[in-house]
Amino acid sequence: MAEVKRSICMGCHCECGVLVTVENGKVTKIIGDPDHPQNEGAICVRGMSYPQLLYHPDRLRYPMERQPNGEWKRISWDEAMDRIANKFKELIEKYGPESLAFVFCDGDRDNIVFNVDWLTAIQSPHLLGTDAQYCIRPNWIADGLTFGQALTWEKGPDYRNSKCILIWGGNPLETHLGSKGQEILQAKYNKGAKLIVVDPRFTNLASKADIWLQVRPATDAALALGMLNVIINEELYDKEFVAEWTVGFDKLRERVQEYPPDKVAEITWVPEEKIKEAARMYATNKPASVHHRMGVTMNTNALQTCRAVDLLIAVTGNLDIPGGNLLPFPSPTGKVRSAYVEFPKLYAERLPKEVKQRRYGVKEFPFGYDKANPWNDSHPVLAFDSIPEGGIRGMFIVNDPVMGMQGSKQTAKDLEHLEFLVVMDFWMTPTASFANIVLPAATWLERDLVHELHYPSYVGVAPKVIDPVPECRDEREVSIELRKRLGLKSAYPINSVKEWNDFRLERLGVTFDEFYQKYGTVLKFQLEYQKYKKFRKFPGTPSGKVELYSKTLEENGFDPLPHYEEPPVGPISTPDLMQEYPFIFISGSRKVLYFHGYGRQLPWLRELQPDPEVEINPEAAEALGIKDGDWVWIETPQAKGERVKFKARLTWGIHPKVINADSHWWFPERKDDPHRACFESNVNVVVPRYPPYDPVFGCPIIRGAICKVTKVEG
Amino acid sequence: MAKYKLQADVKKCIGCHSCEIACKQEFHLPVGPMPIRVVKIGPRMINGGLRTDYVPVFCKHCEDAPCIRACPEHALYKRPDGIVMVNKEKCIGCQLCIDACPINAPQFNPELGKIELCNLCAHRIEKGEKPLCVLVCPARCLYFGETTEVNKKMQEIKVKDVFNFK
Repeated sequence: MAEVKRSICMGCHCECGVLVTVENGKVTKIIGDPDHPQNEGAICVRGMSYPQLLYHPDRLRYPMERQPNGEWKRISWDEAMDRIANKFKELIEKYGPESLAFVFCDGDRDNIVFNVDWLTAIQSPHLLGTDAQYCIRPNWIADGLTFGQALTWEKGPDYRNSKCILIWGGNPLETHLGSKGQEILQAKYNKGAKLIVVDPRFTNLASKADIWLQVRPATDAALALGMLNVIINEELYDKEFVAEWTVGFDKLRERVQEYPPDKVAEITWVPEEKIKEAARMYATNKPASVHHRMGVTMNTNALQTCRAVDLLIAVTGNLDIPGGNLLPFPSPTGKVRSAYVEFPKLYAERLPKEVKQRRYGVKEFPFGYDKANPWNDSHPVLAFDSIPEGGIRGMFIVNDPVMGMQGSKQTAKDLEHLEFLVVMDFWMTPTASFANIVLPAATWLERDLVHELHYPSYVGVAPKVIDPVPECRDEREVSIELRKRLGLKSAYPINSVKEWNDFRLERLGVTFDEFYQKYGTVLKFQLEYQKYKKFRKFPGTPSGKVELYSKTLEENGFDPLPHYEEPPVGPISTPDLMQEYPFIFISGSRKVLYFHGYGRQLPWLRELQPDPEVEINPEAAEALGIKDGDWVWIETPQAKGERVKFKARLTWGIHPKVINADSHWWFPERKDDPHRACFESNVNVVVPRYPPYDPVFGCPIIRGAICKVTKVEG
Repeated sequence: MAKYKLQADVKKCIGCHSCEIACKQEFHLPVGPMPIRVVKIGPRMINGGLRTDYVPVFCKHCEDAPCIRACPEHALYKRPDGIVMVNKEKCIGCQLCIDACPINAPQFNPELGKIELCNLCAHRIEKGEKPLCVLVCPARCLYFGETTEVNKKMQEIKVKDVFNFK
């Protein structure tokens, strides 16, 4: 008997509504839910491929322990939890609680909360997000300094009502297709919104743009300052808003004079006329929304670049108005209950100050990881660096840092140094292959989940669609169990996933089950605009206004106004080195097929792109004797002696001096290698995790490094 | 004239593959056949600017279908409502229909050794539902309905675009 169940996909962070067909207890089909207010039926290939993931023969289906000879032995859950608890206890006794760390990155954020629970109960401050230096942090902190709250990430832009959409250093059509990506297209095609795309690559989004600015990688700050120059000097800014709601405009006006469009054109390779045209288009088509992402943050000038783009929103007054960038809608479930962001913070606040101050990164980056850090987490590279020196000795990992973190070989060595490593995942990932114990995780289809990460003003509830594939478990249950076995108390009276879900919805006056019966998967709230008028201030900035000039930055020794810095390597900084390494290197643009390291096992997805690819301009390739489909080596000066292999895709959509390689490539089918050939085509082997760093976040040069490309012979 | 029509507004397509995987789900297809497939053309230089086109390709259910004429086993046939169907019992997998089709719409299923062809989700139409690719398309570039309605709709869309009306 076929039954269709309503749920919410968690294949990435989008939280798209889905209709799941279940036949004889098995999921056979997943399509978009036309009644879900966010995706309205749209869905991407990742979500639709989950039936292939659920029943894949390679999916981890029971706990395993690695034997001294390297082979994996099946063990029971009871044995696994016993081993983990005993080993963790032993490490705490021998080396203290700070020898243990919890490591996370993408995926369902609920698991962070639960693991932070045991982590803080033992009094270890080592909560490590392996993307902490560049993912959401620079956006959040730059937005926070400027507006008091975050509004440029996925949740901020109100595309549906925009007359102009500016997408900077990201491609929602690859990364957030069902949710935000389709909203952009609808605004453009149904309502005639203008679209400006800043990207070194001619992406599918760029191909739909009214203006595409092909920026030189890592020079985005100059471009934003050039656009501000045009907007301010041509008096296209919102004078009323600027006068009433901002501080530091005169200083900003002075600063942008250093960035006239002709000079910016030289720095960024974007023609002067296009810079002016884009600035005018953005400033004169109000309301306009802006989204900037990792193309902007994965470099050594991340904070200033984010700030520069933010100020475009500020001076045009596109703030918290329909179609602009929205200040966060207060979490309908209550601030404390919003698991994704506030919980790690609250938990970490339970740590004594001196323990908290021993987090990695606090000493080196006191502003980015302590004062301005909303999550109380650590700098992951510095934390991993501590492993060979006897710092962290045991880890519980729920993601794949060998693929996701820069300097993959170094990361793998660090993991080998650990005394004890537990990895929980769907697959035997490269990181899992270094573990002592691997635990099989349940997917969103097998878990009861509450959602409100990307939604502007709704709460979602997604009961599990099927019982977990035997022995796969909800990560949250596992961490509750671990806490109990360690003999620890929770900060909250939450002893099961059910209690947790009910607790999160408490303020709405319903339990998890009641919510679903009453409202289905989504409950919508009325969105409020111009909340700052109600409060008569921007809560969160010291002045209560939008800080074009940031006193906080000044007090902490940083430039209070955005500025541009040449990337530490490149045609201007290191012209000699460019003789040998002639390409600017974008490492790891995302594709809709694969969510980070996931999906290469799934036949439907792998068919669409079987090999790791690098985009090269045909002219540049011809000079190197490289044809479309040839395998090539990529080498960088920062990782001498290392090289990674990609298939050349020749495209006019990339500048002759720039190349772009896929991220997160490993080969799950290569079972001859215990680590699944995870160093062969992994960009992070040649992208080092070491300085030069962004001075605030400690982000290395990830997009905007340099490299050489040679044909693989034979 | 065929009663139903599926048409793509090519200008809107982004090449995200959602239609392709939706179709694979609906018809339980293995690696290989793609009864709807997006062909990417470009990026290439046109009038000094780059342009990429994404064109969804699927059976057009021709009035006088060359695939039907090419099939030696009479496995392909046209329903009274105009939908071209494959009779899998009769299909021998010779693939002459693929050769005959101007856009290679028929797809070979290596697991069955038979042809797969877009049938506009005939089983869904019967229930008053749209083809699955139309429902999931994030770009909303696929239009399905009675042929006259779709023709009218597409004409409106294109005219709006040509005259730049908003």
